[in-house]
Amino acid sequence: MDHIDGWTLTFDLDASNRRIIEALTSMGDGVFGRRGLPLGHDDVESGMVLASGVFDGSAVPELLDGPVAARAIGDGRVDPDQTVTLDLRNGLVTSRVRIDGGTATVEQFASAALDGVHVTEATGPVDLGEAVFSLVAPAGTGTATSARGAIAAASHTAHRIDGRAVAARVTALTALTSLTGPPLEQQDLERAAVHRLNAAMQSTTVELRSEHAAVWNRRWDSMAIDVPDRPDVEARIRFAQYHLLTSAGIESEAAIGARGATGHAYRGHVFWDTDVFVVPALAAMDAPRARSALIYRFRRLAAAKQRARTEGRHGARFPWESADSGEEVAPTQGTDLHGRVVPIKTGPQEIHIVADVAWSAMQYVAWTGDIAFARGPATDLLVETARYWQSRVERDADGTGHLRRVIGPDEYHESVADNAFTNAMAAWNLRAAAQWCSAPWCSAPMHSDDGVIDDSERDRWQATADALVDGYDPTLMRHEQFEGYYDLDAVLAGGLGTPPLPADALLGRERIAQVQVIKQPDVLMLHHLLPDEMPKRSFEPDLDFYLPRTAHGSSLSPAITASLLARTGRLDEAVHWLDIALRLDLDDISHTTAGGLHLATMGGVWQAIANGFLGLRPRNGSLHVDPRVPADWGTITLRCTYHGVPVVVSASAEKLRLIASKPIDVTIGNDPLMHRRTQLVAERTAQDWSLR
Amino acid sequence: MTRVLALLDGSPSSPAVHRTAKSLAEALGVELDPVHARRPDDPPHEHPPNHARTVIGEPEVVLLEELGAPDVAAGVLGTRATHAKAVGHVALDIIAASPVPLILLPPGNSGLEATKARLLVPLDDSLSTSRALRPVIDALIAAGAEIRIVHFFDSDSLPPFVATGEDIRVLAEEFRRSHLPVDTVACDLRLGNPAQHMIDVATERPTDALVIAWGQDLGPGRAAIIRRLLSESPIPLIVVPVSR
Repeated sequence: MDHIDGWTLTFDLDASNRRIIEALTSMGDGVFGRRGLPLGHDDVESGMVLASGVFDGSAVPELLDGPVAARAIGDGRVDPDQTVTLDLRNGLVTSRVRIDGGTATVEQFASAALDGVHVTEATGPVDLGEAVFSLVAPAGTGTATSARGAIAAASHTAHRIDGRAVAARVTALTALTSLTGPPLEQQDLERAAVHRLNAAMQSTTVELRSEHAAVWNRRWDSMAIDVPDRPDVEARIRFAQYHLLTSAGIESEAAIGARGATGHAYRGHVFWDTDVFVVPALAAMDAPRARSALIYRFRRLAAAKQRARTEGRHGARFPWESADSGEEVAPTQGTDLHGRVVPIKTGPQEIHIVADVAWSAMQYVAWTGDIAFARGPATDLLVETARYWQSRVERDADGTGHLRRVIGPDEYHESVADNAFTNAMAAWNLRAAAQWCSAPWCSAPMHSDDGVIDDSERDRWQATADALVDGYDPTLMRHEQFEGYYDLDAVLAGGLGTPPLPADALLGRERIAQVQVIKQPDVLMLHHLLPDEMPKRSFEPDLDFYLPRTAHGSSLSPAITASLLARTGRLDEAVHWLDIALRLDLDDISHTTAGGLHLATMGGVWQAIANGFLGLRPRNGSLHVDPRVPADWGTITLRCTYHGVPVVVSASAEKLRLIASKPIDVTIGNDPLMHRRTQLVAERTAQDWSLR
Repeated sequence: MTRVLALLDGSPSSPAVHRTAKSLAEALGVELDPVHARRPDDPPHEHPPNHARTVIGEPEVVLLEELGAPDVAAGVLGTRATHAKAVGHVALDIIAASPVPLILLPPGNSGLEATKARLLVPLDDSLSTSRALRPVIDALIAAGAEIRIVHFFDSDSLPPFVATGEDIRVLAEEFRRSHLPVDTVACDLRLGNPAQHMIDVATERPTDALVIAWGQDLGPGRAAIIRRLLSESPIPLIVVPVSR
């Protein structure tokens, strides 16, 4: 990246970074993603249109490539070295290109005001005339289909010489529609695209742009994070927010893949990335989008229940990798860096996804207070996942409960028993369901395929949760990551190099299983997701023990590490890890950004700022805030929505201000006292925050 | 480009060299031009190998002149005498200075059939290398060859967020799309020293030849991979000169 300030990121394009910038400047409307188009580099991928949740017919489904739509293209006359600017405030991608000795501008956006409408417009001096026109390739109506779905596009291109402004102008409107399932309605789909196009053509481009920018400005007014003393950090955070918001729509369901609709990497499959990393951020930024992501899970509850039954269990067993059907689509084997075929066991063993889905639903409810969702989908998700754990936990003769043959977030160690994260999440799931079903809205018996929830089932959930071992040693005040972890060779990540590093690739699959180096926060992830469930004073011992053992070999790791470190006041280290997360895509640290953006990292960035540096999270029916802001960052301001109420939290190292548009319940720092306020100011004392 | 040169020296590898050059010429739709170099002091061959056109002069000099003709697309030659480990100095001089791609046949190899060749293309992370190779690769694909690229990471160059399994597939796919965005091309990633492991990779799956871009610098400490392959590879090498 070549220039950055609070709202704009400017990239100097060259042949080596073309595909990366395509991904970084992807334009999404929540359903359709269209990669930014460096001009003069026409190939198959340029102009790639993807739709969340619309897959091809492969045995392992991949996102379906949409039809070729009208798009910026250019030809051999375009100077390949060009400048591309992403204007976050207004949601615009602008390329400045040199062609035929002159300079032309190409502006593109995915309308935030009109669903499925994408606009491309090239302008230049009138004497460039035809050269400007060549910058946009026209297209008509087309449909890409598979056995699993279809994407239709209808485009219209208009050329104009504007005498008054002395400009040549070519404008292309593209309207996109999609469906999932067998493409029986292909003609209807195309008709819908044409209808959508005709509706968009009722407005001028100026009007379309203005309405689009107005929507983005309203969005930012309710979600922007400001760090004015660090405009570089500020822009990178907002870059994450921008792409998070465009990854999910507000209608129907949102199948948010690991890379959204910004590229083909990970095939568009939905992982825990969405539930644990993306949904909490969306719940606070723009709740309907989080709801759509959860509705995606809810609509696959039947498939999850079927899988549980197939495995001889009850409840719902969600897949580690999910596509359209809700069945498991994780690959079963891969290749290592020595050319050996290795089994991939995440599909059968990474069962914490079951509790992750339930946790995500409850996080959404905690942020939004969405009663309808709470009484409906959230209850079903919570209950059916609890039933799964109830049937999955093995009870030994001594009464203790165990989960064996599992993989935790640390995927370096497979087929382990009693992974602390999995067990504690399962226990939380069981307790939360038992508690939830005791609430007034569950007073009527709930019926499901597995029978009525009654007191005895709630009691069994509670008993199973209590029986589950979690590896906690009160003497050491820390958790053992899984049974036998302490017996592994005490190799630290730093002994292999400077993290982040791909420890399993370096050591090999056999050796990594023998050492204590882990891929990403595992026990520590519990402290991130369930801070109030963890034993008192276990956080810092766990952090001190596991952080040196963490290789950060997952792109999910840096942001969560930043959040954890910020909470403990280790701010220099927190800033270091946040910086890696912020630059992960913008500097292509993973070498895979061209394949799509890391949405979970972006969700993690939001969580690091909110949960970590501001200590902001819903807690026991209140909004809790406990900031720890680096002194040289000045003030962090975060806008969010809590229970439908717009909230602005501003904090520096010394001062905290919270403003809500209506009274909300707030707790601060270590003080358990709940304050119902619209405005609150506090100052840092030696130990805590003091209300003014 | 209208000619493929078969550089024939009358050694046991000459028939395979001729066969390979003929196959390549047919695949590219150009003319086969067998050439035999004779030193001025040597007696003329009564029957030049494969009816080759004879050029007179120091072989490395005159053959490089032939390869430098503007209509020459590629050349084919044998690199070593039977059972020899070292590449002959004539071959080495030609390899180090040829302006066009060469197919180098090791002793005992029966030759390469261009239209069915299964080719392994090692690539470093330089886009200029892959871009230089692209016309050759495109021509080979058009001729019917099957291409697999391989890239070797070392512990310093391996990106941080790569775990065994799906991450490697994604990384390989990105490497392929960045370096050789052709749908039919496969990509493998490896960890280690390419000079040591290239032949292992080539023998993992049926492979008929290796395609290598190089800067034609055989100076001390340079071209370790090429040197090793020239002396040890049991399969032909296709060496493609790229600007240094």
